[in-house]
Amino acid sequence: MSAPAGPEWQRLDRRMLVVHPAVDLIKLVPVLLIIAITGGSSDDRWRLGGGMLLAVAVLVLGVSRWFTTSYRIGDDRVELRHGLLRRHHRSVHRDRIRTADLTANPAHRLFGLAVVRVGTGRREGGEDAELTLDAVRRGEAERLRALLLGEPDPAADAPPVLARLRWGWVRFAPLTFSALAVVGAVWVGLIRLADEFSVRPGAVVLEQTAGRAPVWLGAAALVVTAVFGAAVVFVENWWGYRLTRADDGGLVLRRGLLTRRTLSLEGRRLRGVELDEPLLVRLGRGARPLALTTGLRADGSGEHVGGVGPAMPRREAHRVAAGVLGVGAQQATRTPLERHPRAAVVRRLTRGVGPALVVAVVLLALPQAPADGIVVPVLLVVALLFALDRVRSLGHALTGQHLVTRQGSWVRRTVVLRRGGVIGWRLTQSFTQRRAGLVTLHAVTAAGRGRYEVLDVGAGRALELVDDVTPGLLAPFVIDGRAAGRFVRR
Amino acid sequence: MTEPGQHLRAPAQRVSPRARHWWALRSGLGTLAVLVPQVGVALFLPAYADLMLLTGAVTVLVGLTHLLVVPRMRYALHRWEITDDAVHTLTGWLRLEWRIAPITRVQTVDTDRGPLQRALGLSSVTVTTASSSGALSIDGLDADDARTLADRLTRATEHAGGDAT
Repeated sequence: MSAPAGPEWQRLDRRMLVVHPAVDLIKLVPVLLIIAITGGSSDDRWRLGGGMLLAVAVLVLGVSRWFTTSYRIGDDRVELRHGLLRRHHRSVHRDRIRTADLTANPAHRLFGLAVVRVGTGRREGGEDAELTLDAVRRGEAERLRALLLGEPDPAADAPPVLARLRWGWVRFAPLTFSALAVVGAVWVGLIRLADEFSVRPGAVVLEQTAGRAPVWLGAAALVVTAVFGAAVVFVENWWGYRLTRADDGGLVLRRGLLTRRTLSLEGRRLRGVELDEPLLVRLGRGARPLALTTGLRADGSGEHVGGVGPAMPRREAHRVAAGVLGVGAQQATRTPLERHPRAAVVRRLTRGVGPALVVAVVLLALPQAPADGIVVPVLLVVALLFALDRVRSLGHALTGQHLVTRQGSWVRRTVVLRRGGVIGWRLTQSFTQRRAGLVTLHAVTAAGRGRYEVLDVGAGRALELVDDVTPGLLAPFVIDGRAAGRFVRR
Repeated sequence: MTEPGQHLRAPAQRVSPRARHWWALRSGLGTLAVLVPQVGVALFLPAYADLMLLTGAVTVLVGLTHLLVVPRMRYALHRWEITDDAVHTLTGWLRLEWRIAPITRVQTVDTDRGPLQRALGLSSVTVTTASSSGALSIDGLDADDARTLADRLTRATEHAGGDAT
């Protein structure tokens, strides 16, 4: 190749000579175990030999990865060569680099290493859109990250910190839904483990032990696993959590106990923020801040798309959201919202209570439905409370820089979208909305979920919003006149 | 609900009149897809034949009404227009939906024709933007019109620079 004589090709850190084979071997353990366990008495030599051969092959391959992989960072491109039999050569233009994220699994951390993932922000292409250096020394990784993103050297001066972990936040962990998932996982794991060791309690045993245990004991066991499991997951995910602002207005998020992650969000890809308040977390006066950015990996390697912090006290979350947008605390998710028309309130109520009413009538009509006296009132009251809460949540606002919209009860979402982030609109009107003179306005954006709705807003107000954010777009269509419900005159 | 306010006039262009046949065909096929299993059950499980006769009758009734009414409503309501700034579409029958994609934000312009559309000489034009839910499509256009439209849109978007996010 006659590439301009750039800097020298570099190898990954020498310690990967140990890490790669070791990690591969550990991955191989289940296979070897299966080979060992399923052994009958006859073919033991073949079995042993096969297993050894496999292990050696894996070792050799792991070692060879270090010798065959090299990279170099040139003035205008980053290049990576790897592969033993099939050589790959990938080069990424430095202008195209959007992200440089660091991760380190326990094996890496043991040796003080970190993986650098260089991404171009393309959504398509999956793995191919990335260039992975697995792995280099931690300090070198930090230096590369700063170099590739054009940030000043991390050692130079401390960037402003937007948020850091407070251990009190762990109290919100059991209130999130992932806590419930943890409970499920723990119990399924236990049961499968018991199954594995053939501890299958017979019906008699069950009756004499579990059958006699009071119900509260089972409930308590569930709650304890939920709290404990959620706390463990919280610690693993958010240990050392620190959110800092980069020079270009972007963000750097660091977190993780065993697997350390450093995620950078480029400033010019930021389109807004969101504040999520799931019901339980909201009852605990907490909230979770999210950033709306374009091109964030949709799968996010199991991460919440754009989450920039764990569930935290509401006031903190508001502050973090405002910090992410770089505006005053009262100008982001705390913007005072406008109420929606009375028809929107009526619609929330009818849609909330209506179905419950139908169920209640059916329950009452059934001849031998048990406990109607309790179920029906509870059902109706709960439905009414939810509907009222939805009414209370509903709101929107348009400020000089942002479109703000809020809705929901089960999960209350407050979305603050930059005006410039709106790249299209949808106005929808159902049959019942037409009669009520309402429309639902969707602001289409390249970030986050793709569109964010302003639910049940007056037809005239919706047109005002569109015209204010994107002047002239609807101008050729607007006609004055007495408004009927329909927002389009035919 | 009678406060004075602003409205929109509908976009100017209609889709091809043949689109009605396309929607009717699709509606008919949909009804068939629901009806065939019921006939199957009635033939092979005689115990349920009476029940299937009843549900089948309802299916045919609903399907026929849908076939007769919905294509006309769609044809009456579906409109599109391309202004200097944006592509507008108005679709739906019970639930109206007006989509707007500014020309500067358009990323790709596709035309596609399914087997049914091809048989009727129709075509769809789909305009995508950087958003995962920003696509906007004009169905049931005359095939030639669709091609001209796609050309025009492609040319219009070439003039607008940027990465459209």
